[in-house]
Amino acid sequence: MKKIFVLLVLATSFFIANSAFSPSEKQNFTIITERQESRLREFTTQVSQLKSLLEHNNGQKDIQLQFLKVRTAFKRWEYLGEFLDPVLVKDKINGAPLFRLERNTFGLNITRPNGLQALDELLFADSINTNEALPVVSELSDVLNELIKVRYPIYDRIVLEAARTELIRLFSLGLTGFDVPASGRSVADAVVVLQSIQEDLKLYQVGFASINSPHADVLYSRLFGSIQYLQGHQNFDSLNRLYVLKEFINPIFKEINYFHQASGIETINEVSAFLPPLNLNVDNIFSPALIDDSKYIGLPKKLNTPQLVSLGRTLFFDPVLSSNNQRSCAGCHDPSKAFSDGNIKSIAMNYEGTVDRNAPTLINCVYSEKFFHDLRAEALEDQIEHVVVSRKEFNTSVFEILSKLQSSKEYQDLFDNCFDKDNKGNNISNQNVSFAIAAYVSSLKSMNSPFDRYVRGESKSLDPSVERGFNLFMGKAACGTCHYAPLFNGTVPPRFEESESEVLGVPENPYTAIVSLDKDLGRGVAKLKDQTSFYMNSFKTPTIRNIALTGPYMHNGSYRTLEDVMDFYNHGGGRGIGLDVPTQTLSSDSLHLSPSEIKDIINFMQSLTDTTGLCSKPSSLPRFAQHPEWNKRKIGGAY
Amino acid sequence: MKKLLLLSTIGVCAFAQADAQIPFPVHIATDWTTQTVLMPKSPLMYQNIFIGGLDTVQTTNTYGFAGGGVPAKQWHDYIAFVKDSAAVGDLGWVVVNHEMTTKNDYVGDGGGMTTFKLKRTAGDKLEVVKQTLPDGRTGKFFNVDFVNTVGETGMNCGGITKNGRVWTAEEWMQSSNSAIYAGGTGFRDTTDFVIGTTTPAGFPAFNGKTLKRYQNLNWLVEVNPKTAKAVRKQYNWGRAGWEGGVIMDDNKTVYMFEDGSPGILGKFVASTPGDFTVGQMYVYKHDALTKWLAIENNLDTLVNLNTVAIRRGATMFNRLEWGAVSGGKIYICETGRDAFAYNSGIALKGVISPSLVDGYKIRYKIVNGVDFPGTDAAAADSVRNGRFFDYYGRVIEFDPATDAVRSYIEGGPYTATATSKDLPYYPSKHLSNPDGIDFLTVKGKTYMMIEEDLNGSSYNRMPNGFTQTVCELYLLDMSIANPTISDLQRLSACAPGAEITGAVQIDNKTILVNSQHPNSSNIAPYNNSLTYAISGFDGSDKLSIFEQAEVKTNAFSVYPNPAARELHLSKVMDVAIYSVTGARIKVLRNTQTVDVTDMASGTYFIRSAEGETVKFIVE
Repeated sequence: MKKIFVLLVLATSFFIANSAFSPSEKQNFTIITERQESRLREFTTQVSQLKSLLEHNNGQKDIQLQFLKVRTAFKRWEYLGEFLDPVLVKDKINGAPLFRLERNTFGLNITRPNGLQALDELLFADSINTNEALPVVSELSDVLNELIKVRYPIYDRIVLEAARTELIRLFSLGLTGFDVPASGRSVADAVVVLQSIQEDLKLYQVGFASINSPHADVLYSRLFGSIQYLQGHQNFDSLNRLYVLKEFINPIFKEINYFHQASGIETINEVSAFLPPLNLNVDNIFSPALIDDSKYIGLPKKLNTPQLVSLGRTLFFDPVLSSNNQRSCAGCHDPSKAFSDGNIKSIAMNYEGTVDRNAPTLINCVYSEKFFHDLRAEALEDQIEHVVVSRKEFNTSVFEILSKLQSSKEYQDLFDNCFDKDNKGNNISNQNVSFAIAAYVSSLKSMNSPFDRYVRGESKSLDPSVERGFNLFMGKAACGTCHYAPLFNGTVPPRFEESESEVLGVPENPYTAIVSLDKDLGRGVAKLKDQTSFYMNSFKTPTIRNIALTGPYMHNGSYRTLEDVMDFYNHGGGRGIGLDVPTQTLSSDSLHLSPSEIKDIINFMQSLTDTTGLCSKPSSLPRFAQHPEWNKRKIGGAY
Repeated sequence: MKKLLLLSTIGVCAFAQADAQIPFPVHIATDWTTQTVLMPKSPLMYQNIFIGGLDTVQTTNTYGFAGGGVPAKQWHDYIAFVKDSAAVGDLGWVVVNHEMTTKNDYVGDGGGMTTFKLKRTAGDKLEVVKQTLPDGRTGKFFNVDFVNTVGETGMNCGGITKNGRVWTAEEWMQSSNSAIYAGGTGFRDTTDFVIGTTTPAGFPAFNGKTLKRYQNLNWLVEVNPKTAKAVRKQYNWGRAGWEGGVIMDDNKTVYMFEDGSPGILGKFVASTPGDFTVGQMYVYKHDALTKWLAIENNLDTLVNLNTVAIRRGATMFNRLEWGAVSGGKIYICETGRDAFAYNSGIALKGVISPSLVDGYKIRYKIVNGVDFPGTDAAAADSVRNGRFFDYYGRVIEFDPATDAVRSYIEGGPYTATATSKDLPYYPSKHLSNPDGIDFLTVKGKTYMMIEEDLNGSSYNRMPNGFTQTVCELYLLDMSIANPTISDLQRLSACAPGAEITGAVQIDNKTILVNSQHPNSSNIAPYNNSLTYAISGFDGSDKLSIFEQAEVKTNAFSVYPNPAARELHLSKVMDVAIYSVTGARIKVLRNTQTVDVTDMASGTYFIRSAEGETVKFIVE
């Protein structure tokens, strides 16, 4: 009861202080609502002016200057605007400048690159093509004129959560240059964002100070400090992002949370059950709990027990799941190689060639919206069936596996122990097999590498080369614009609810005299609803974590070493090395990385290795009374 | 405990003075509440009947693979129900469309349908009856064979049920063989299709004619639910992105609705009642003298019906979905689209539907506070030029007696004005992108069932900040003249990410509903497509099943709606919900309803801004 009491006192005194301070004035959330409306009006006005300059064919300099005014106005509005309507911002205002499929519509309707990022590319090109730019500005102008009519209520909860969500966005998407593909104005943008947050949080300063003055001092001084630091370090390439993260982003992120909890203001968890994987109730952007892995799987929480994980592990290592009783999941996903297999492409069933692609790591694979290199499966549970029926993989059917497993008393007991106790003997089902394997695979999580521990302040020192490498990864080398921190995969922050794929132009074999584009069309032919030209040769962005263990690299395993991979990117991907890749989403410009910079990036990537506690195998496999020959099978399979 | 009480009282006073955003205490004392509201058990009973991906369907020999049991396809869309009480207690056959389109060695490439027979058992529960079909298949669920009968099917969305006959609509227009082949993941067979070469039948007027394989998709297709076999593709009704249709009581006139932008409204009149292989096809053109353009019965024309129709000046709708008949009028969902313009291409030849003109004018009035000053032609021009952000959609009414179409209820509430009488109910009464529609009769009263399929969460279609879509099934009492959003009653909400669809009444007790393509990360079984039953519509006589008596307190009053699982408040307010131990579990601002669907049975407290607390018990 003590804790409750303390909290109540805090909450009460804060609000008494607040109301005593400004009894007749407007409440904070009202002031901020009005400010946000005015920020949107300003944004809309600046866009209209840009439109007018384009219509009158003003000079490129004038147009670019006006565009920067637009960006400033947008960035002032962004932290609340994007929190309140993230889908609108992505679809129409500041999404990646790519062709996309219109969501939830009849057939495949393609939308052209639009919004601020498309404009950034068009207006900062060598010359401006008005015929291309004007429709983009007009559409943006229409969207904002519509948006101005829509009311979005803002509450104290929203202000605090929007600010914290923005800190993740600012670090992972803003400072990496993600949303300024051509103008490169990301540090100045970050200053505007932080100023906007600071302006609104100042309204709470007296109240927060009355709750806990030392904490308030940290919050407001770091906020001020972050702005000052970034104003003094505007150079994109040389900005020390690790310093910014540790010194400013994480402390501000933590202190706002402190006051959110201490003030008794409700949290998003009390407002909706339908939340994205982002979990705001943590103190560090590199906390393992920042992303809630249970949001990616359909396994009911109450079933997700250690016994089920153990059963899943047994199934994972059991070759009885395959048609010839010789192959298990572990055959291509070897724990000692972070659950990849070291082959260019894994060996196919009965040694008849190979499967079509390279075996990816399974560690942290749960943090995905879609699965496989071509994103064809929508859930971990669905993915398993693809492997089972593939002629090159298990070459069997779900029903064949079930009838085998059902013939083992030991398996029956293991399933009964995990599922419905009243349904003894009947728990081996399609869904329960998927659940068990999904429970095990989703337990393969790792956010505890030396680099993570340093960011969280759990270790005090870091190799300077790793620090340089991280800053390059997140800045000049542009790796972080697709491999998003903190997962360093293609699951998009700050909500982590969408997986991305990219067209890199990976060659079939980079080590031959004449290099040609890999023939695998990837996502473009993976399913009917992704059948578009811009998904041809597109593959899922994998995680960088544990990359030291998962070579060879790329969807086709064509690159032997990280040095070779870095060389490919440094040249601008497939187009950069002269291949014809019209839909390449990777910039074809050189990154201008020196050999020592490449070494630093590799050192950083290798500091993300952590497989602790994830590599154990079952000590035995269940027995089959009627099939003594099966009982000799090898744990993990023969090959 | 005394101290706690005192402190929370102080807190409340401070706020009342400051006209503040009420900070609901994290914990409250729970021993001083006298008022109790009872949220009775729902009079409705929910039962999962058919789960995609998990239930086993029986297949016929297909592509050289032997028939047998395989997991059912997913993405349940339209549900057809055909009464069949030949065996005692049996209710009839249920046929479920699978909109999912994939390659499958056993159930066939493309989409498909599953048929099964239901009976009622003790306690009003439903049971799927084990059957043996004429072709020898035995089991509970049967895959409807399209591959060996009419060529494959695909994108099976809506449909038509009339006099025990069922048609499925192949929406999602296909335009090339390579697209349907999908790199080997779609349709394996891309050879030409010759009409009349499959059993049981081809099509009288077109036997021997050749279609590209992709052109054998996007028709309405008749199926026999009792034999689990397709009968024929309705080539004479034209090929378009058909999403749904209705057959009128004359058993001759068919209306068809196209999901396209522009989408068309089609009509077919059979020469003889019940024989839909011979008759005349038309397309709607509201500004023509006869209102309908006759379409010649020529396969080349019929294969490209949408293009032909728009070129001839047909009326253009913004994505028609399903329709249903009540009182002789046809109600059709025009689901809307986040952006569209009809100022280029063949769309320039078409004419803007009066329903869109209505929608534009209604929106104009909300935004500007005055009626649209121009003519309907001027409003139509605005729509044509893309000035109508039609992200809500509407239900439209078509009157066969006058051939006139109008907006019946606009989606929304559109939030541009604070004075709308619909706004306080947001988001619990909030209609976005209506898609499925049918009628429900409860104790002599007719309700429209409207099912949502959200096109997105932007522009407040979900409460702000939430990107996951939750689609709802609303009821609308048809005796209400000029209905608005506040007249809607929420009956069911489906799993996040899913589209709620297929709602059909099977008798006086039960409706069946589908939840399709949910987020695969929903907790099982809500991670799969699902056909579920809602039963109990024949319950208690005293009160409408949608309302319970209200309990008044000093500052506000509460009444439970057990059917919708909602507490209704007497006014728009901020409230917090506390657990039995006084721990705050929910805070709702600016609301008039509290959804208790996800709350386990037990005791809770609801606290108003003024600090008044009422106990409520969820049974």
